[in-house]
Amino acid sequence: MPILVVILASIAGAVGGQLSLKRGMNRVGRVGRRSQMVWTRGLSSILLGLGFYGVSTLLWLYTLSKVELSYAFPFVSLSYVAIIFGARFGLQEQLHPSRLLGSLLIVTGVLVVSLS
Amino acid sequence: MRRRLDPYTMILVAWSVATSVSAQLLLRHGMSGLSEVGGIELYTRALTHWAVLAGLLAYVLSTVTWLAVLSRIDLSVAYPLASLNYVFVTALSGWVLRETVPLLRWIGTAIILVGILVVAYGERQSPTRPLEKL
Repeated sequence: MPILVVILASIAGAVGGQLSLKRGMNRVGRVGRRSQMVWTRGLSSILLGLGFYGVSTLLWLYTLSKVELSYAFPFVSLSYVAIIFGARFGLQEQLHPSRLLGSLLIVTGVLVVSLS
Repeated sequence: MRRRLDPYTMILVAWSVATSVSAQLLLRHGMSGLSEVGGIELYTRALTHWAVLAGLLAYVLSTVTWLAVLSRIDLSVAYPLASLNYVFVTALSGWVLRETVPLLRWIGTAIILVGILVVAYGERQSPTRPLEKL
């Protein structure tokens, strides 16, 4: 399998994992003082999210054993774009301008870091 | 529903990132001493090494804290804030570990930090600030 596919699968796994964890915690409820949480409601999404994350981490370790970090790292910036789309269309979050601008800056920063 | 980014949540984010960075450093420290060991022995040696165990514990702590963060704020806020990871790692390797950090990496890290501050500042404003205001 081409390394590019492995890298993209790793990024997709990390993004899918975060979306799934967030979906689970939305069902569980807010963690904090005097909160009423129902862990069983979100458990399946949380376990799925952790599973995604585990696979993504293994794929990333495999990637780093094959190519230089400087080759793989720029692809990390894709995850910020994917999270924005996933949060908007998967989780119905409101994309306030500060969130878009901030994420865009972080994407730029990651790309600059990967040039070094 | 949009919730303001309260100080308690900001502390949770910082704690989650700090434990994650510690986990990476501990695991790297623990595994680097085992580079000549292979096969089953690698796993038995690794899982009885204090740094590897401490690193795994730190990962668990980080993940649990991250779940608490996700329960309190939107993912489109939490995920950008988690890139504080890169800021910690660059600062640590430059100032604490005395590694040579290229100028371009400092610049990129600074841009990331500005992005984090923009997201955080936006969330500290009125919770009902409409999108059309920009």
